[in-house]
Amino acid sequence: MKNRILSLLLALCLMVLALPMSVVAAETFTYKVSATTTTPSIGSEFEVVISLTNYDSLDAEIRGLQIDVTNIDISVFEIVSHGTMISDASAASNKTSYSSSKNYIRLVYLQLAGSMDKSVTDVMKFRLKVKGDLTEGGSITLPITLKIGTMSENITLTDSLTINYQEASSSTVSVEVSWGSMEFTYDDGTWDDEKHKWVNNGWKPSTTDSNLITVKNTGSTDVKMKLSYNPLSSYNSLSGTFVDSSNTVLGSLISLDTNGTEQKYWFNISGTTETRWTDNYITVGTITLTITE
Amino acid sequence: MSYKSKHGSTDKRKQIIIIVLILLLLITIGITVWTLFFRDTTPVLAPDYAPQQTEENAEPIDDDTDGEKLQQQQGGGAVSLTYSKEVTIDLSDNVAKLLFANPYKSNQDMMLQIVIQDTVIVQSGLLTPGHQVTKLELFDNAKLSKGTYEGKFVVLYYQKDTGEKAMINTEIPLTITVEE
Repeated sequence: MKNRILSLLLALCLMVLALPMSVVAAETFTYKVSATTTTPSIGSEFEVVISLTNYDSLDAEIRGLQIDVTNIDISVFEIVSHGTMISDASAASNKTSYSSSKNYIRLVYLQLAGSMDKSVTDVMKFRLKVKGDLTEGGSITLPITLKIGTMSENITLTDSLTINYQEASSSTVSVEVSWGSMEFTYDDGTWDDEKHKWVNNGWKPSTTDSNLITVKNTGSTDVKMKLSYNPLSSYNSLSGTFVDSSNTVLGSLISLDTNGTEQKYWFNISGTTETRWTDNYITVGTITLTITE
Repeated sequence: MSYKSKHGSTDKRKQIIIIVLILLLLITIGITVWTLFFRDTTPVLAPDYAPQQTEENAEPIDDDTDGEKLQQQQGGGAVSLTYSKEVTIDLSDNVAKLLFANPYKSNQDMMLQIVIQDTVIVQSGLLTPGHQVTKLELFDNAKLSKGTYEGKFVVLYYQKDTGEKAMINTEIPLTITVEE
């Protein structure tokens, strides 16, 4: 009985030790589908390269390889080019083709005497253009099938590549931002005998326009922005607002048009803290400028 | 007598072996569970002072090595930033493909983070004026899968003379495409 328990425990230990290693991918072909962009603008081109990523580390040798990239909708795409990236002059077949009736690009590689060289990584590439006469963006998924024939077995791998083509507009944004020292000093103000209270008190910027923030759109893409104040947890009794030149408090998103006009906003802080006197300025929060579409 | 004591000591040895194997089993189960399900999720905090290292993937911006600097107030800052709204993450290479530039006219150094679901998955080294990045490496603990994520750039500014972080930062919402 004890011998059986011993054997069982030993077997369990070996299985549990082996588990982490088995979680790591078992030996199989792995590949990569790389696109220069998956969000091309209408009228622009993009290139796709399909690569084997671990062929040189496997024992298996490839004698045949067929890759099909299907659903290439010719109402959306123009075929710019396609080709094999395998360098093998002795192969019985090593070429790509496009079928207009079945909307696919196919690579067929076949080696009758031997196998594909172990150093091969990139195997196929093709270049498509999003048709310039499209009027709005959209999305197309291209199913990809890899059929690999080795000396001992045939393996089929599947994947897909989704292309989200966009309306032709610049996707680059350029903005200039400047800000003052954002240093404030609390002014106790003056005592008003009639009102029996301190007046004209509050936080004042240390110098004129040291609380100024300027923003300018220097690119060709319209964007919007908003400013927000984030107090540190130790100073959450303080709040901040932003006003424009007419002293109007900023609301939500503000347009930054591409006319290059500099827009100015002043930051004001209010509230009180327990800290009364300090020799140096203390950081009480941060300001976030959010740029969005 | 000698047969009895020999049999008794064999039983005792088997008991010890059983206990050791049980302990070993518990330890290996614990290690396996930790390996599979638990990671070091130390949060990434932006440094209050500039990173000591410049971003290794930074490259000079073409035709932007001199010129006038933007005007800035004493104690303040002035920056220009240029970026592309298209960001792609390649999981096989563990890199983010992007375009983010700190033009020469800026007066501040920058550090760029890519944040998805409140998790910093990329943090650059120092990006000095006149330099841009087109790829950045992901943190090893970034857990992403193929698809589309809503994320953001977080841009932090650092004074060139003191290295101190500015109290203003920039956030840029993005749609990030993740590929395998």
